[in-house]
Amino acid sequence: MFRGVLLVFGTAIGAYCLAFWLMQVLPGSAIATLGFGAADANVRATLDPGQSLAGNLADLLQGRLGTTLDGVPVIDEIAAALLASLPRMVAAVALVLATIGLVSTAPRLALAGINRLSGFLVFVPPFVFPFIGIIILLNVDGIDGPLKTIVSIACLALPPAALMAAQTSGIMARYLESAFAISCRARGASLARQRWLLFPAVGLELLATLEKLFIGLFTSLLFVEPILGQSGFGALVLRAIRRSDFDLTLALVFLLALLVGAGRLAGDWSRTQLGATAA
Amino acid sequence: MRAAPAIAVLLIGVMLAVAPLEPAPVHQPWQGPARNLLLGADEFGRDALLVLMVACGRSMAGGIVLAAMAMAAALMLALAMVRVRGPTAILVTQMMAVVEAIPVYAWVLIIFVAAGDGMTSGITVLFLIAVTPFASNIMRGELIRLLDQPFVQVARMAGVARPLIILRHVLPNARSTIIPLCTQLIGLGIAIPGAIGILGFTNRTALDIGVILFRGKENAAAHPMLLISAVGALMLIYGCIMQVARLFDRRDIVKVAISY
Repeated sequence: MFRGVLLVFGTAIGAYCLAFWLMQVLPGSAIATLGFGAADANVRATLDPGQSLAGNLADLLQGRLGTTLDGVPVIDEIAAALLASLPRMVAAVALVLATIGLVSTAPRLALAGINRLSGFLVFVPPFVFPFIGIIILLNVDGIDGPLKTIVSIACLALPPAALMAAQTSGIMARYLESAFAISCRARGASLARQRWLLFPAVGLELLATLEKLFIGLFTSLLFVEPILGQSGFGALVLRAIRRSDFDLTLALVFLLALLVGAGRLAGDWSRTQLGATAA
Repeated sequence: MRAAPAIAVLLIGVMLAVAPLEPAPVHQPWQGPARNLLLGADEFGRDALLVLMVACGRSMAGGIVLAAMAMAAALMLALAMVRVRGPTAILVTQMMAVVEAIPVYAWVLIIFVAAGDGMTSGITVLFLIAVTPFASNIMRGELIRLLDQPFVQVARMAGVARPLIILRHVLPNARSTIIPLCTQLIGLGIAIPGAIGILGFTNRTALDIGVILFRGKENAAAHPMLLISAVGALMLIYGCIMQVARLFDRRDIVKVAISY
């Protein structure tokens, strides 16, 4: 466990360094076209690549994340954005879990169809869903109507839910063909009873993709919030990248890497625990 | 043949991409649909259908080229990594984990903004940086699995040279991984310029599906057809690519690790 935490931390530091290098070494002019070039150029001019990376890392390890281009402490910006996104993310995770439950109980013959449909939804770029959300909102009650939150949660949940549905349907279909399920059927177990017996094993396999669920959720967030005009973590990431806000972008990269790593770690840990219990 | 319509759509798209088409602003801005103007005109007075078709064709052709380059880079890297064992392999895997730690789209946007205007031609570079690690990791796993198979060991004992073994025996058998991966990379290749277009950096008149989506969103209330047609065209392209990919391999693409 300790080794895993170290590995996640090391990976997050690596992502931070890579983002630092990219933003320092590649001299961009896209920022200038947006009118933030002067501020960014000043920051760059005062930094010496070797020293500032060491200095930034030292600050990071002491919990100092710097300030945004607007002079607001990065930690405050991130905390406010996370708080704004949290309810939507919790609702999206609940939707994903509900999808897993629904797919697990779907009729056997429908599993192939579900796998195909969800495979397509996984394949489609995640930024398409918020645009579909806008079209739906326009036809129902306007872009800023009360349905906006529901549509944004649905758009947020759709790519990770599709990924999980694809995985669940594939795994469940495979397990229903296993010798264990066949012997259960031979002993007269109903389909519901078979699913119930197979669900822990399916869950164990799904935990391996927990990291992908996290990545899917954050990728969705990156597009859903800016496209639907909501404030939150995704909108903050896009704003930071757009303005080339040095401290904010680096802090967000670090945080994203930590969160994704934590997802991976949680998946590994639960698999070990559940595996031991099952054994 | 069930995939014939999908192949036809993709071929038309590729032809539109290479054709020297430049929709001219000859109509009134936002002119309504007519018999010779099926989707009406956009805000610049160009035929909206032609703009959409050319943009989709170019995005699709660009995605295919990007995917081909990424596959070649990933294959070379995977072949090199297969030979690397021990602590070096762990180090290389860890370096890849660093790139995979945050979503591909976030890396792409960071690199795009950091690198600036010159990146219109440099999208290839940022795509390769963002995508090659996960693609080569998947291919490396498959190559290692295949290189341990008995038929490869027999070929090795028969004195067949390693490059020949890889070319004749390993790569054809890795098809079930390579084709879904390639499909996924084509999808990403089309999506990346789209994601950059959503940032709003590129020229508004550019024939790019991302720019059309961005403009469609801005004008959604007054002229929803632009957004609806762009989303529909994108779904059609992805549907066709998936359908064509099934021709080459019956396995579902989601069995390959998905990386956003």
